Amino acid sequence: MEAIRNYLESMFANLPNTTEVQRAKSELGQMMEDKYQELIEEGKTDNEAVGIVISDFGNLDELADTLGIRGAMQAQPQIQARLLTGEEVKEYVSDDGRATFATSIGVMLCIFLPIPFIAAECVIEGLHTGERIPFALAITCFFVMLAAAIAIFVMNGIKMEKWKYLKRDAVCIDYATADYLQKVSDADRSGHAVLKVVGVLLCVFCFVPVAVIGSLTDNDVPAMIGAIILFLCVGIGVMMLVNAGAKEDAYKTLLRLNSPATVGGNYVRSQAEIRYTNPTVEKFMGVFNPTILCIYLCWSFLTFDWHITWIIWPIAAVVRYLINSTWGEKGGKF
Amino acid sequence: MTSISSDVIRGYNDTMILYLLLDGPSYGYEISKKIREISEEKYVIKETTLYSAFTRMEKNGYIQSFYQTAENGKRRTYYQITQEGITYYQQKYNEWDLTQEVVQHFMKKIL
Repeated sequence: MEAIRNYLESMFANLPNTTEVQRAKSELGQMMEDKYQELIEEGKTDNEAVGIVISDFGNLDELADTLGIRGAMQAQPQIQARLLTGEEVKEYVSDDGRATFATSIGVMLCIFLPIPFIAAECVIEGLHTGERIPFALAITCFFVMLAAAIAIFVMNGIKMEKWKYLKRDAVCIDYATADYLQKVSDADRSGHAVLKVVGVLLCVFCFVPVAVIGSLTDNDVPAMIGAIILFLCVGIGVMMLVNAGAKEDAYKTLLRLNSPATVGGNYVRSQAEIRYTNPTVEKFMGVFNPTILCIYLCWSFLTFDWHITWIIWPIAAVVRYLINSTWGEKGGKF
Repeated sequence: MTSISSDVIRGYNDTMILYLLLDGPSYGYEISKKIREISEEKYVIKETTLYSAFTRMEKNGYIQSFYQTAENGKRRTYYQITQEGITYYQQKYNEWDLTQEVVQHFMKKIL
């Protein structure tokens, strides 16, 4: 049955996504399914049944005029998009996952950059050592982390270079691949949600150690240790957030390869996610989450008003809701 | 082995479908199955041919479609013949009667 479904989907993949075409597809699918079932009941093997059903399918050319797709059928050779193989798709998902993981480590290292200096300060204050050695160590640590982060970013850029064609060339995926992607994407969803929640919590509550320690003692050293914990929390939190969206992005990139104007663009539920009517809003919403995180961190670190800066999260949620209801619209559905 | 020429039969797909619908509403696969059975497996209508006939005849007002849930819980599109469809069928019948009468005069078996 799967083979028949794949056959039908591939026959229709490049046709315009109209009601007539959808209806034709579902009707033909129904007839094929009925026929297949009866052949199986008659004792045919799966292979035989599939063979008969497909050979009796006929030719879509016959439907061209009734469906008003004569133009689209003749235009097909020009817009022929290369079909990605299953291996390519899996390789891209794993490459992209690895690249995002590396990026998240790089970002975490960047956030950790102040830690060596605070630690050095701690050592100097707490152990009353000389300044020179701790600072030399701190600077070394700083540059090692910075160099590592830059190396990671550069390597990633080079590694992902070969996948640029996904965005540049006309490529598409078939129904079986889309189905596979949808399944793994659904399977990953709950894990990602946990990662996201923990990441956000770490970022939101990173100031707690500083605040608690600050209220308990006036001593500088514990306060600085609190600050180190703060950077650790933010670093790990951001790393988790970056990772949480990682695979999802790879799946979406692949699932969006098919043009939504064709039947093939219908393989995905993710097409039904919110789209924005205004291109500026669309761009803005693309960077909405990172922007809010950025504002939150900048505001908090510049003013140290941690007791109030969390308010930005509920405000952001309200703003997102307002923007979605003003400019957003649900995309096409299956 | 002789097989049926699709050019010749094309003009009569509609007639065959309407003939079956005269007995009451039916759906895609059932119609294609009956055509195969009645023709003693000598003619198997392609799915695309059948569907294009449905849409064409619906547009012309010869048949109407409606949804109905079958016994096994499947939602199917059923087709039923309209008054215009019956009239059209009658015309096609007369046309065929005449056609085969005329053509028959020119047919003989060569031994």
